[in-house]
Amino acid sequence: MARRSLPNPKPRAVKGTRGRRRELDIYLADDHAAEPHSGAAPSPTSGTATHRDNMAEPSPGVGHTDSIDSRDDPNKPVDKKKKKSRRPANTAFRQQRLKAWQPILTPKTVIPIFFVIGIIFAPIGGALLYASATVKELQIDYSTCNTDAPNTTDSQPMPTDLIKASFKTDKPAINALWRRELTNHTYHGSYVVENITKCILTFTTPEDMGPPVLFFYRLTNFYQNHRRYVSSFYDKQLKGDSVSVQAVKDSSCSPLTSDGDKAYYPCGLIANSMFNDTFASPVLTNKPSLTETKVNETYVMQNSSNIAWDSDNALYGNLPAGTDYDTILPPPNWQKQYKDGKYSTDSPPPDLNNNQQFMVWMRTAGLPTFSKLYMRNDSHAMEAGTYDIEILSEFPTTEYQGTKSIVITTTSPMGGKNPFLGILYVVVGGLCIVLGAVFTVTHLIKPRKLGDHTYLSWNKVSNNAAKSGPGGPAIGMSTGRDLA
Amino acid sequence: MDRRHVPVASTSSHGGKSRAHHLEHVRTSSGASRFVRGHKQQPSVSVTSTDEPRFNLDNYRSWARRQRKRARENTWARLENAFNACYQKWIIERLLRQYPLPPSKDGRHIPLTYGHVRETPLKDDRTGSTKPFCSNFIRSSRYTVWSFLPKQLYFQFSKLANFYFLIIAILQAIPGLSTTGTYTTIATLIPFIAISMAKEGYDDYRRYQLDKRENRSMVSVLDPKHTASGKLKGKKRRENADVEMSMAELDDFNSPANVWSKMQWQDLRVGDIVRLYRDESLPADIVLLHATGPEGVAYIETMALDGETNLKSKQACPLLAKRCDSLAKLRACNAQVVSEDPNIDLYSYEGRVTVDNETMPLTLNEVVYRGSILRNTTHATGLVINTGEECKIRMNANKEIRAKMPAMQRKINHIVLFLVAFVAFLAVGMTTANEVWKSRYLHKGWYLKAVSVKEILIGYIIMFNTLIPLSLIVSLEIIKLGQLFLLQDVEMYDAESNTPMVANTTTILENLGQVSYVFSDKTGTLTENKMRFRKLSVAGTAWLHDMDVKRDDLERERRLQLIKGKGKSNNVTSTMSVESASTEPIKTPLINHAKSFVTKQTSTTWTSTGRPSHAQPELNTEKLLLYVYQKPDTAFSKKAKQFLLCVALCHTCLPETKADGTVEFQAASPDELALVKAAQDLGYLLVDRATQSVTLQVKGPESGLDLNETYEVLDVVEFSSKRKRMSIVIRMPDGRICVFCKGADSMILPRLKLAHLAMQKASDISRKATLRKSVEATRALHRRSMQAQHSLDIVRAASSKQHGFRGVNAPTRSSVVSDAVDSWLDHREHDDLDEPGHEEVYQSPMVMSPASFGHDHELDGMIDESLASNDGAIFERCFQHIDDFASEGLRTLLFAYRYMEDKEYASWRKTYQEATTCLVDRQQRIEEAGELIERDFDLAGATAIEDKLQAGVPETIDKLRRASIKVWMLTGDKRETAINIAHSARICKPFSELYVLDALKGELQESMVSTLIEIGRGMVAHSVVVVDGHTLSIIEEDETLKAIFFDLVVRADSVICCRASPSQKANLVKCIRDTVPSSLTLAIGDGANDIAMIQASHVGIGISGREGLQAARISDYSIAQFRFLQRLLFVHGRWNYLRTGKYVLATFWKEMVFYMAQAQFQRWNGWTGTSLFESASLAVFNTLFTSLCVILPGIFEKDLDAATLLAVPELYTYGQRNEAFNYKKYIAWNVMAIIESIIIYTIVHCLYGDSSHDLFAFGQLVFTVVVIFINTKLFVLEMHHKTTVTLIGWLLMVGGWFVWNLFISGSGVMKHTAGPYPVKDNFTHGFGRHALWWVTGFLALAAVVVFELCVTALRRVYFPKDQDLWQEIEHLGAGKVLEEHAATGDVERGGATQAQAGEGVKLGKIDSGGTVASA
Repeated sequence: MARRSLPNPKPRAVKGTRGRRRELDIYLADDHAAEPHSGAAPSPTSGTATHRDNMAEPSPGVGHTDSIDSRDDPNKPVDKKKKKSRRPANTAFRQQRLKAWQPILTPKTVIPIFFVIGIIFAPIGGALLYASATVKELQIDYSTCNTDAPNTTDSQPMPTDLIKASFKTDKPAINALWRRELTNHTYHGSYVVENITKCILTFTTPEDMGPPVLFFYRLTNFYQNHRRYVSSFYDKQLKGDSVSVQAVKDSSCSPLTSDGDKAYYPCGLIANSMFNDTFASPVLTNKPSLTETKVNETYVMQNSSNIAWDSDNALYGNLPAGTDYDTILPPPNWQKQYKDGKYSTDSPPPDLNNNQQFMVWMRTAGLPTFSKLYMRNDSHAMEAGTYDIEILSEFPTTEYQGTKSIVITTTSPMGGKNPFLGILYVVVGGLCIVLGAVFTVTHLIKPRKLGDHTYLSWNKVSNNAAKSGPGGPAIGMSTGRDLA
Repeated sequence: MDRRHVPVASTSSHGGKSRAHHLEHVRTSSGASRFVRGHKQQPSVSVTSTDEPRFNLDNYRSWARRQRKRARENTWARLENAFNACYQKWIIERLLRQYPLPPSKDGRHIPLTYGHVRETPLKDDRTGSTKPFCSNFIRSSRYTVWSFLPKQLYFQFSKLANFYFLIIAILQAIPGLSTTGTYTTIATLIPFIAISMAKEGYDDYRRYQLDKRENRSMVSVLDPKHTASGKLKGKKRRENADVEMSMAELDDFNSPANVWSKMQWQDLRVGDIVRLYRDESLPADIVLLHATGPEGVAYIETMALDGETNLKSKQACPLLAKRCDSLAKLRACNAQVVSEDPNIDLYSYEGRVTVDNETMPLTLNEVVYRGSILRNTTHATGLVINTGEECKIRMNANKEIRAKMPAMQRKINHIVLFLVAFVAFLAVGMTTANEVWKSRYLHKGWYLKAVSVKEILIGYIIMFNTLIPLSLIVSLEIIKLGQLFLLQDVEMYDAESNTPMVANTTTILENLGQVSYVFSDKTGTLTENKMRFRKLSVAGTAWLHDMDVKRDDLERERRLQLIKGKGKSNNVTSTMSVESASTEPIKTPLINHAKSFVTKQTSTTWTSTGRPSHAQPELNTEKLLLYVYQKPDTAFSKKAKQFLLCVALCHTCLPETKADGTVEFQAASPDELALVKAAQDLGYLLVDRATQSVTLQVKGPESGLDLNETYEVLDVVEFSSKRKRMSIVIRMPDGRICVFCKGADSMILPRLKLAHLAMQKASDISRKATLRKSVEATRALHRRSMQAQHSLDIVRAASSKQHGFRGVNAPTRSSVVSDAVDSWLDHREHDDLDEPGHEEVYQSPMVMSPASFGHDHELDGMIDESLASNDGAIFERCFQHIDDFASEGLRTLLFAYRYMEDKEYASWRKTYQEATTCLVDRQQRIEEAGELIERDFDLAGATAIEDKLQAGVPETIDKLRRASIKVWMLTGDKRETAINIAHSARICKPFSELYVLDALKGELQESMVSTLIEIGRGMVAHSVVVVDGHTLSIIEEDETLKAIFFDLVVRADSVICCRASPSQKANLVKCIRDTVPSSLTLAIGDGANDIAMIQASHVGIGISGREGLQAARISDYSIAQFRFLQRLLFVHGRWNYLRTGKYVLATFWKEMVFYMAQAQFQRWNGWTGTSLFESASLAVFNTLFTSLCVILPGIFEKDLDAATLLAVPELYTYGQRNEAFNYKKYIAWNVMAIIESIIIYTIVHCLYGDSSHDLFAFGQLVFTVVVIFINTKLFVLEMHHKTTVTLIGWLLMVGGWFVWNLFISGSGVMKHTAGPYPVKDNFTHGFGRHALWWVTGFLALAAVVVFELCVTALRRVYFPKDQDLWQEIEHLGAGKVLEEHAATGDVERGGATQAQAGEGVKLGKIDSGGTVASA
């Protein structure tokens, strides 16, 4: 008799014969128990036949039992202790029967989704538009002041495209005027620099603003995010650690680290290019007083606190005490403000720890157009009226086709003026509603039948196959039938 | 050359008139000959008549030549070949001095020396007798300790992605170029590669261990000087000594001194004389010297070699046999064996033996190969001729096993390549932009300093390199582990053999979803290799033998009980789930209680799996016995008894009476065993078979007592594959001499007394059968053309209904859908099967029996006694029955007998004796002698044996076919057997056209070409090509034949390959891989002979738990039952394919979204390479915030229910058409990514950019939107199967992002810094408190989600895919129906269900679903 058994050359552990005998007994018992079921067979021999047949499999022989793998012999009873069920765990997780949420994007489900999104977004957009509308903002571009503004005592109107304003009043009359003059300015307490262009802007605010009122300068086309620029600073130096000239030279300030054996303090491209226009607080020139005459009143905006992040304070420290001023130099762009272009006791290096404007500058902007807070007034409203602002305009922007502007603005919960936000919300919401409507209409006119058979790919294939004649079974396209 | 005239090869691909015209006149000849059909499944190959103009094959040849040339001219292949040649020449030959061995002059000369070889090993002639023969040590491990590292490093870095990351890592390590750290890439890469290498190393170590076990198996070798025992140490030696003693006792050589030593296989040498005991495996190829079987026959099981289940009888060459039957003789024997050089051919052997100047040839009949097992023979002695790697089985083994790669890998590699190019393009483009910007701006920008081109370029390369994330590979491994974990399906657990599905590899999980060819072994894979006597036809009446149907059921039941009882005793959880089973619905489509109970009622029915609709005789053999007992003297009863006697006597089985009185049989083939058992069932128990007699225990006709009758066996003319019959000459108890013969109908038929009448009837029947077949075929063709119309109309009806009611009447709607789906699926399932109604018309009238057989005395009506004496009618009926049996896939045998005169016998006896003792052409002369008495037979009857298929095989094959998978059967078995099984397994349909390619039957090329043309015409309903190993080897040698052959077989619906050697099987698989590169092949088998095929295929499946473990061990996946293939492919394969595809797409997509934002930002920083994102967050983007969103869908996604996938196998084509991951899809996802990235960046840029205080806040907002969007899209929009896992994943990822922000902002990990990314406190105190930041983010998110939703909705609603439609159908409530249909193929309709149900009833509960389902 051919036995289907392992042609397995490996010697197998011989099982104890006693164990085998017991198994056999168990098995025999089972077999007898099973016998009555065969009673249906009328043949008198069939009972024994069943029995014999079952017994037919294991046969005696030397070494025979060894070579039979237990799984090969279906009649061999399984060893109850040794063999445990290898059935995989029947849990919902293992068997991938976890309850699932399986929505289907049918026309019926898509249309409501669009409408819901639309209905949610439209009012949000409205609210945002309203919030933006409450912001009063005035923006004056004075980049060309040094060249285009009249160098007289009479202010001339500025080109209107330099002015942007948004107030509640329609078409507000800003009446921005400008002029320039050369002036002397005293830097750092004692050093006087002569012939600095001072730009005086005059404008009228139609409404009271704020509080708070924020004063920004805004630069365009200025790449504070330039790869080399953005990392060109030396944190230890800024922090106020004592650093050697060599350390500065090796630092990330490259390529602006030092001049000869003198290190720039602070080194790096960012510090060097710090925005150095100086803005005075706006002065209300037509403040109605008790008397008929109008008086000037400075709307004081402070610029030494609360304009930089609190956390930035930790980054900047003073020059370590006892630093030899001969070992450091102001960055090239700063040198104009220092006598002989050097630090000295008279014109000491800047106190970075308290120089919030420096901190603001050092926090590099993400985009080439940016606004940086210069000063603010959180307590008083900026009354409607005509203001003068004096600007020491030293920062060159026209060279690189950039602009600089002042921005005076109030705030809303959303920050500054940002009408697009609201508009976009409305647009997205509106788009959804339109889409929803389109879907509804097309669905009503020409509904796609759910589960339409013509879409089933094998039908398509079989159609093709039928057309092209030969090709065997309908769905054989990918099995080499289309072999060239 | 005009393309249209490229003839046959391209005919079916170039449609059009010219071909039709060309084919038409060929058809006339082939069509006619096709209808002349052999009696059974005879080859119906149309042999082209000679007057037909010869096909002009020149064109074909040139086509083939071009094909070959093209293959050769592949540059890469050429390079590789050149490299290999160089390697061979320089490294192997020059350096290692290993030359390929030249063939020897005239084979290896092996002297038969008495143990002499143990002292001086023989030298190999081929080395000029300088070196000994190769040792018997085998090595299947791929690496050695030394070659492991270099080979593995090469292998690892030949993976494109790994190589890419290596380059990036090196770039990163060059100081000053990287902006993202120095060792980040290499630090991730090294552990990952180390793990992969360790895994490979472990696998190889396991192989090494297995080799070691095999190499150290023991065998006893003639070793008079005991050279071997010194090598064994200590305890082992003692044990061996014990064994030795017992062996010595058994030793019939009766030698006083024990000359046999036990030694390890690996120490065996050529020339050794080995001694084998029953059931031992052969350690090497040997020439048989002596065996103790009857007449010196040794029975050999060669299943591991060729898959054949028959035991083969091998006999020592008479020259040797008489000189080697004792030790003394052996010692004196001075023989020399000359053996052919080692080669791969399993089916031929040439050699000779010379003893005392007498030479005889050695053939296959005297040689036993390694891997076979000695059966039913106590001892055998042999001379080792081939050892180790030179054994036939090792030569056949697949040596160069390439590591299997998922098919998707190729595409992934292409995309990686594309992305590398894309990164380079981005980098170069942006560097150029930077140059332009520099020239326009920088010289004016007094505050800036230029960055060098080199830095910019490499900076960009490093910035965008993560477009191909390293996590792609790492996470891929993770999801595959997860998929593997979920692959442990209870429904693929076989309770009977307690075998779960086992996965040996994770790499190619997704390949399971793309298979288009299944190469299946037959024995043990499709069949259980249990032969069951199923039907018999005697005196014109067909009877069903169902006793063993019941017996099988009982046995199965009992075994299941055993396992279950045990399961309960040691598994508490399972008991608990038993209790809860009643409350919680078990979601398993495999259970179908209702059906089970129904089948239980009619437990004795048996349906053919090949033709389930075929009417079955209602008479069973119990009634036959009853009738014979009641009316023993009627003509019918006499014939029946005579027939049963034939069955009981005409065989070569040996009974063994056991201690408890039961009788066990030893048979050379399971068929014979089945026959003998059937005879036993029918009252003829074989109790003894001495050498010259047969003793039968017969039920006495009246008393019912057992009578022993002894029949003297005079002669046996044995079965051979050429004769296809065996005869036995018996002296009956009454003294008459009778010759009984059984054999194939085509052999018996011409030898009948009334041969002429019989032939006439047979051709009548065959004409009818042909008619029926052609009608069926026409109908099948018609059905196929109707298929399109008859599709899912019903669903349309249902859905329109749904729209009509608008869900007002929900239950109605769902039931309408269910009904619709139900009928549609019914239609598809029975597509290729005939409705029973049509059947009767074309069948000869069966005996229509009275409706009921309630009482015994009604038996009269059921037998037509008049028929029993009408020979013509008997013939007609009998042949009709045989034809029916055969088409049901049963193996038929005809029995015939003849009484002969003593005189006649005496004269014949003389001739026969001469033949058997003759030394030259013995076989032929025996055959001739046999012919002499095998004539003028009376027909006794016919039997039909079922080669029992495994449960659910035909249904599975049907479903595989519906899934557009071609099923090929490659077997080592005989052609007839193979065709029979093909029928019962429904690889062949009743109306299939079989094209048998046989090199022995004339022009191979012409028959192939004509077949090709016929198939090409498309008028063949179902074509099956049958080819055998011999023909295949001829085809393989000729390039032109090969080209035509593969062109033919890919067009045929199925291919059956019989008598194929393991290497041929593997070759066939390889050739299909080459011929149809787009296809994915799956090989499934159970034995050692399938290993090569399993390794050669894309996916190798082993059947475990039955035959042996070799295949299961070496395979990629092993399952216990063929039918689990359904679940493995349709459900898990598809899911895993879908998951992996989605994972890859999603991974590339998310990187694209993320880095495109980065790219857009570059425009705003002068194209200098400043990163939009802060580097710490950037570094963990892939791992912390967007890992689960690709991994979890990669593990848990299910687009459709398992039930749907099983019920609608057509959905499987999804993977075959590469729909989850293809270039089109990749591009579509990328386009979406770019658009979405633009939407996100633009919104954030416009609304927040100016207002942001620093780059960090701005970048973080983009980052936030991207992270939430990626997670939302992948978890919510893309994942269909949203479970709590999904929710948790989403929360972890999105929550993780905010936790991360809080962490870097609030904790002390990040120090305060200046620069672009002031992280510290920024989220907690800075932008995190700005409403604008949040509101902008929300808007950007909403905008992309709406966009995504809109696109998806449009696509789904207006361009739905198959799975979308089925999702809708599932949604509409067709789940129940789908489950039912999923179950139809899975549960065996007959016995298995019954047994299950019976058990279920008895136990009264279900062991938590799985066990019941798996039967």
